[in-house]
Amino acid sequence: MKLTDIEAIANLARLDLTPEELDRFATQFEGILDLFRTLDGIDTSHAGATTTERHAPPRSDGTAPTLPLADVLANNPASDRDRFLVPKILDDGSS
Amino acid sequence: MSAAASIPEDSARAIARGVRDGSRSAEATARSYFDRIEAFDDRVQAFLTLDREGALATAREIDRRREAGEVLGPLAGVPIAVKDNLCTKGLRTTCASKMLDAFVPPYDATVVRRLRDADAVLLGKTNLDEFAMGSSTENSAYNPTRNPWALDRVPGGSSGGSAAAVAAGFAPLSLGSDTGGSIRQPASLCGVVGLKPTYGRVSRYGLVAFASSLDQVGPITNDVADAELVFSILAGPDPNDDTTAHSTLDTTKRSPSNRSDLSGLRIGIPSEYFPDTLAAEVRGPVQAAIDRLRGAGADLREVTLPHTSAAIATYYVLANSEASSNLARFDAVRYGRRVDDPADSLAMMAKSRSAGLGPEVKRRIMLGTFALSAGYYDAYYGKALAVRDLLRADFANAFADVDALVAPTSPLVAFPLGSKVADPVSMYLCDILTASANLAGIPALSVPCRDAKPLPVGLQILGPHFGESTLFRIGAAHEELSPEPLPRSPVATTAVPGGGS
Repeated sequence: MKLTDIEAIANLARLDLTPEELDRFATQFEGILDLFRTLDGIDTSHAGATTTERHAPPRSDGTAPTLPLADVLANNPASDRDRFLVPKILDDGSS
Repeated sequence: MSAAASIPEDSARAIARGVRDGSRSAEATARSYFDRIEAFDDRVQAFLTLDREGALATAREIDRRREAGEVLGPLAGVPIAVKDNLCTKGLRTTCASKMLDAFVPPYDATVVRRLRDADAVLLGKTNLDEFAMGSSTENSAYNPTRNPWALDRVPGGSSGGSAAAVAAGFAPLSLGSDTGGSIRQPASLCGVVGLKPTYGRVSRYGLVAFASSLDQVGPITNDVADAELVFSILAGPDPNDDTTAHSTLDTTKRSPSNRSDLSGLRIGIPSEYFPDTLAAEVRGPVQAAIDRLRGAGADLREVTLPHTSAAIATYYVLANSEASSNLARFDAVRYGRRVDDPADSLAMMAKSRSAGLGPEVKRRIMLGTFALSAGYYDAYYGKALAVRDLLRADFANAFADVDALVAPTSPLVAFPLGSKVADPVSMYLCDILTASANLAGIPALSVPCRDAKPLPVGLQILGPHFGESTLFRIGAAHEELSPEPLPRSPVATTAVPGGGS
């Protein structure tokens, strides 16, 4: 697989890979995709013929207590009172 | 023999019985297990986190309640170990990932809650391949776990810590999760019993998701009766997990009067599970076990599961695709590792994920992202879904003629640490005999072949959906028919220095 393809996948996956990781994945993916491609030769034209669906019955509506806010925020990397803090998402032109 | 040295001989049932009738104390039992862990876990490295203080407080409360005349639960005072991808309220849950190094859940997984409600005593959290992705527990971001039968070999994975903990005598039972074999394969390699229940039998609420159409939680124990007991506590609908089935426990085809009588039971032998490449040290004990089942009256029939060779490719396309979606939640916004001073939110996500996730997790996210991407979705993900239907149909056809199937659990015995790390495809093939059950959603049980030497070998018993009771029946008969007693690992049979408490 080409390095540019690996970079594009990494971008989709929100991974910031090192050049060494990109090279390694480019090499390893060939063997793994060869394994995946073994499925190409299987006739699946009749697939699904024996599948039966199970449906969970809908549960009744009701209210239940939620987790305390302090517990929810306890693992938060950065918070301000009852909010999650993150770096800026939109460029405000100040930088 | 000291009290501590005798610990690994105890079943969960015997411990609970003793605690309930007052012939043993829950606190002394917990202390004895901690003595063993502290003496030997530096060699095995089964645990990532121990909760001595919490466990002893729980145990003391159980003893107090017994003295007060209260009725105790079915696991009264039984020490348990829990795979570290199951949330435990107030106790660190890492998934063996640096991403969750400091994560302390605000709630218990349903399975953990059910064990606590049954009066079990949680000793600690066990090691795994990071986010349950692996077959050797070498993908843990902290350390590999070692097999208590041979410390230079892997315990299997991804529930390697849970299987090794039971095999080492650190706990009489543990919980694992099984997405493609992650309970059964380590159970096989460590010489213990492991059950992957039917998809939908056991709640996944609080299990950190890997592949949601495949994941199941199940017990790892020393014998089949303990597995059946724990399963009966774990199973059942959960309002917090809409994939749990509302079926009641299946109690058909049981023969409690004579555990070794299998007359009337039709057992299939799938020829595809005995390839020429099957290791000789696996084939021999498994064939001997099958011969004993025949001797006990089982009607053995050869069956075929013709799409078995496609299971690994199908599994890895689907599991990685689901993983790439499930692990998108680790974006450093609400919990998990966050790098310092990122330029913006996208950089925060990408850099935090890259810093917090290990190489196998990144590899699988990448592969899954690729399989789901525009232009490739139909060729990979869509095709794998179609082949999954064919695999399901194979089992449906087989179970039209037989009540259960038996086969090896793993094509290999425990392999040396480091021997497969550089070759992902070779590692993926470790799941070749287990992944089909996850793809089909059927239950499967691995039980040790007691005559396997020098390393453990598991016999896998597979049944139709909701057919766990048939698996327990065959598994119990297999134990009863075995020529040798329960095998114990060298670590489990080593006395604790000083005799323990």
